[in-house]
Amino acid sequence: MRLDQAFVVYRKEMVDLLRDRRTIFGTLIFPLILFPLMTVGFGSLVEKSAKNVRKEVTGVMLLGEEHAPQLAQVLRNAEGLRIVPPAPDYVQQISSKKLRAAVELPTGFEAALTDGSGDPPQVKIYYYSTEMRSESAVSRLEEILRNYRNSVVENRLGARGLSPAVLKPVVAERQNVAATEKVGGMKLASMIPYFITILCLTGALHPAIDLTAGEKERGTLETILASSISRGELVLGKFLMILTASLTTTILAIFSFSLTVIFAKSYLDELTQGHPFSISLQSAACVLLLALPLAVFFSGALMAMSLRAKSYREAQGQIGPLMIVVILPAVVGMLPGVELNARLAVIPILNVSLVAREILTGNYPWGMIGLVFASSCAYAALALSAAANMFQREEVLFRA
Amino acid sequence: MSLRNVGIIYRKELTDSLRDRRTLISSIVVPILSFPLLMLAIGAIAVFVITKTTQQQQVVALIHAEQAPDLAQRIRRERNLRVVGDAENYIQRINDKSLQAAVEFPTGMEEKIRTSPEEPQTVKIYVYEDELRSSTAARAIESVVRQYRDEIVTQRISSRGLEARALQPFKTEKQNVASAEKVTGNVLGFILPYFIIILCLTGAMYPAIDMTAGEKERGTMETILASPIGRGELVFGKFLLTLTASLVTTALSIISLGLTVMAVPFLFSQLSKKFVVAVSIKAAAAVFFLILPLAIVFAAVMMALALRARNYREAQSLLAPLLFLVILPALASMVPGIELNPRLALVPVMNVSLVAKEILAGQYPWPFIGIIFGSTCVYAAAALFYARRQFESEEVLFRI
Repeated sequence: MRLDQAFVVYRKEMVDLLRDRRTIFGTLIFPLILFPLMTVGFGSLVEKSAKNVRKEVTGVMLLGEEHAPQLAQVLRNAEGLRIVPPAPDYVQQISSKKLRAAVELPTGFEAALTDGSGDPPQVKIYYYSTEMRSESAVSRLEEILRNYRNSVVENRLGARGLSPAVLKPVVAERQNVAATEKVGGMKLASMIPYFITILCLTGALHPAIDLTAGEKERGTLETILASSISRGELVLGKFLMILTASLTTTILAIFSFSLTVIFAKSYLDELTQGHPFSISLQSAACVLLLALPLAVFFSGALMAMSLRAKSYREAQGQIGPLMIVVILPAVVGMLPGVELNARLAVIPILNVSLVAREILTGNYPWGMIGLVFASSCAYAALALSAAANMFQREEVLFRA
Repeated sequence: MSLRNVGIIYRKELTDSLRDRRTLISSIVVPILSFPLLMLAIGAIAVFVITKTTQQQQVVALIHAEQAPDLAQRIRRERNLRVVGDAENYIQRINDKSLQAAVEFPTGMEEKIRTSPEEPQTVKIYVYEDELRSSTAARAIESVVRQYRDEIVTQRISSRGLEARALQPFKTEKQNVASAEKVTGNVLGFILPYFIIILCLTGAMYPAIDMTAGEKERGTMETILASPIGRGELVFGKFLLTLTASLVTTALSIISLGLTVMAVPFLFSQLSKKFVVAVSIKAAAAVFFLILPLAIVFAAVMMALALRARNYREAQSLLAPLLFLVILPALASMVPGIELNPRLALVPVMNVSLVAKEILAGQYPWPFIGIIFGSTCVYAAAALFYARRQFESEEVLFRI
């Protein structure tokens, strides 16, 4: 095999691909520019409406106010609540979202509180389950009632000469001891490997089909086979082009994604919950190194699969279901609780997702990294040899 | 325009697309089946992994256990926790996840609880924030501490002649008053509009391309143009089939999704408790009538755009950006706080998403429904007109 010949094929494919401006624009540039822009625009809309919700004064109806004048006064003075005069159709009003919630105070509420010997009276909150604003009104009401209850309890204790501190002999307090970049990175660290996997696949998809089934469809495959270039060189050249496209798409997409995240800073803060998140150069390099055999694997496998098809469309139909097979392990890699072990380290795709997650949170389990790298290299070699093998078979190349 | 001729075109296209079994399966049947299957598989794995992880014994170290022998003993007795003897390097061990949490008791804790009840004691729980196993461990420890605290409090107040009941002056109970239909509708209204819109779009994509650029690619466009059928009839027949395909795909996908959700009550136990399948016929009909003009917009726009392409592949890359343009406004139903107003009622896609949400939750804001239906119909007419114009332009039809 002569590498310079493979390189000739590579250059030819590159020119072919770059010349097709329209495709490049549609599949690469447009999503890369449009997506960040729309995310930022949409994000600001979301933020604005969330602010409106927070500013909103919640309408709440008070039923049986006369049974508890004191508590009613507390509710009236509470911030963010507007007390609506009682009406018999409160159920109707809540169901049609005209009213967020209603509080019902039972007969003799305050008398029972001062007495304190009978069964505790019950305050009822009527609401619309699953409706966001109604649920948030309920949690506000519960908070106010809790505070009121605490003050009642305090009075009772005070009457017996006890301080409220007797109710808090012990407090449990959680304290995070994990390094901050590990905590902030947790969520991003499980999302990034997923994106990388999907991008590596989709980036290779179009060129893999175009360079094989597309070539058949255009009737140019025969010409190229008749040239003095050997089969192996041809496969290598085409494969390298697909790999380049896959890696370029991945890197560009990650780049545009990072820009989006930097622009929409509030979004990043929400993801990392205020913890600083940074990816060290070492971990980025490590993840990219692990993604490389994965991209090789996808490029080889896609090439082998789409060579069997007669046309672009047919190839797409065959590869469609493959997406599911890839998405599943990539999503499983995002699940909390799935931890890397020697068995999972040999499952393609999932292993890279899991080990990349560890690396991004600052752990370097070198033994596992080695195992994952070796096993994905083995899969990559397998896929590549399958592709080379396909190119040797006349019945695949000239399937009628 | 003769309807008979439109019918002929429609039947011809229908036969054409039904005959191509392979494409039919790969582009319609597989996605419809695989999407729910994928969801199911991921859901099942997630449930399995999370239950396994949380039921697993969590490893916990105690620091200064001698300061609180009673509480330490209770933690040791907790079934889900395994207390290890030494607490050395606990920060390091929590970071590398070999230890889930460490509990530190303050100096003289139990002694001080007895002697100085005014001074609350703080038990510190060292955790790896956001990590599943660590949070599970912390929750178990907190519940032990809470129980311990309640016992001490009961002792303390009973020594002063107060009953534990005194700490519970009244109870609060929340009660949902919205009908089951409204509760389910609210959940459905959150996700369903998005799915329906995206499905309408993707369902129209394949037939729109196949009947325009695909026809060009196969070289049959000229034949059909030379037939005595008018251009308008041709466009309308092709358009109707695109619309049919889009609506059928959407309906089938929704049904398959619904069946999946119902078939696995164990996965969606949270949802299915309230899932009394309660979309009224009226709501379903209203949503359908609002979706219809939107589906017309999608079908016509895609046909017009795809006609500009020379072949299937080019058409695909032309249409890909459309998906991006539609996804974000379609997401509006999922954003809390975005409410319909006259301005948003004119934004295509977003308006339908928002009003469908209201309808599914049992609200019928008739003036908005009218505005949205009217404006979407106007967009649909414009899109159809544009598609018709494209079919009349020789430049577009015979672009090389």
